[in-house]
Amino acid sequence: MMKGLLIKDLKLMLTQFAFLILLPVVGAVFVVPTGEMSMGFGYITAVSGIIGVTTINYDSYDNGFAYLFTLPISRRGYVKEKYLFAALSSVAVMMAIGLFMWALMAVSHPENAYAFADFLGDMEDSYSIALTAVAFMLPVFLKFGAEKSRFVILIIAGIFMGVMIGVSQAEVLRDIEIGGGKWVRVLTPVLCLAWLCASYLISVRIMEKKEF
Amino acid sequence: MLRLENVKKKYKDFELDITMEVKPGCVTGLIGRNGAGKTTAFKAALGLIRAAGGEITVFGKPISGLSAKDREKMGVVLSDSGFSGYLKVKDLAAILGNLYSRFDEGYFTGKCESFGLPFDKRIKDFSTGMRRKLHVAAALSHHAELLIMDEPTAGMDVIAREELLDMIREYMETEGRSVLLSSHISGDLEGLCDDIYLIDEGKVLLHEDTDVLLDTYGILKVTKEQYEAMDKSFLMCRRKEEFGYSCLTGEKQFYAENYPDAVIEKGSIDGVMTMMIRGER
Repeated sequence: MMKGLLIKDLKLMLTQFAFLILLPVVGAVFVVPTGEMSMGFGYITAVSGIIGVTTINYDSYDNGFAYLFTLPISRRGYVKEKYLFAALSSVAVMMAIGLFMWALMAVSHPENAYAFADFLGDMEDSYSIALTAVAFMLPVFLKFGAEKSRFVILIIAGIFMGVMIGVSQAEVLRDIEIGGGKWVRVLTPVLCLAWLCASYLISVRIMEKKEF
Repeated sequence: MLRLENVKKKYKDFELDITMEVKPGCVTGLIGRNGAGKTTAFKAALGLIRAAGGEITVFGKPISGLSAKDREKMGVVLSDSGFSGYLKVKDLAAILGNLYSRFDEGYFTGKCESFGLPFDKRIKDFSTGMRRKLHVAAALSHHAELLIMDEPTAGMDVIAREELLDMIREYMETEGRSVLLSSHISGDLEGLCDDIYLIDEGKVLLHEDTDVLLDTYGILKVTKEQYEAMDKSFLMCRRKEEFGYSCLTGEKQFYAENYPDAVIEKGSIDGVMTMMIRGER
């Protein structure tokens, strides 16, 4: 079952082929003029996170969920596959665009080119953030559908940004960094994983309650 | 094979309250007006909506307890839903092949070819008839034991409809298989179904074997005087007409023998449905 769903999502993702081809080109715009990768990493994180989640829109197109759940697919299995596909597509898109940008950086700004190991380290951080965003977006998309999700995500992202600005103003983060930087490094993946598990359980509950 | 027992579902302006059964080896038809509750009944039978009461069993198991393996034994065509419109026919073989352990790719692609479906075009650009053909081909391609088809012939031309009905007949040649289908074309059901449920406003008005319905049901056309003098024991409902009354009976032979002056029309699904819905009981 899982393989069939993964193939379906891959085929659906490839329907955006023209868009996928454009992604590295846009990435070049961040790297070539500035000569640095920091904005590029932000771009990679955002794009790779959203790409797998959008397959939900294709599934729900024209009341498609109803038919989907007459196939040998459980609702829990569907949710599981969405998380797996989002994680896999995210890493694939991230690596493809990231490697292109890294190579472009090495060619266009050799003075700023940095070691591949450092690049991979930064990619790992970006991936954690992308997965955190996926864990946030998937239940929202499943609950509200494609149209309403955009508004809901905008509202929640606004609240989140507000909280983050407030926290940074209070210098809480710096205190945490100074007091226990080591622990932050250890706790972040654990918290990400916990957030992913909680998000998965919320998504399962949403899908099991849904009627089509 | 499939049983809905006192299944209830309430919406703002509609309530389903239905008991019906699809027996092994039988083709069961579901007829009714638009909005009668056919699609709601199908969705309840497939577990797509939660019933507020009653019991739904498929292959002897409660619908909530059906595993993916059990679902493999079902082939479904829905009237208002299907494969994502962004997929193409050529994508489906790989997807279905990995969802169904008994998927017959040769059968599926062969049927799609014979239906003239383009393999390289997005499904969202298909006509209604083409989509139905695609979903019928998919439903029949994995050796399902139970077919559930809501309006499978909608949007099809006469030739394609006949071809589809032949496919269902061919499917039923294997023992132990069953079909539940609805159609707004009564001819489809008359020539195919073993029994028929007529539903209206969410309730079963009539359940009868098709042969019995066609052989023993009739519509009497009588004047007011004939009606008043008539034994009404076997009349199911009546409808006022300009000439007097039309009356539905399940015992047309009785009236043919005892009231030779009465005009009696042979029972048909359309006739019975119209009388049952519009007539007074």
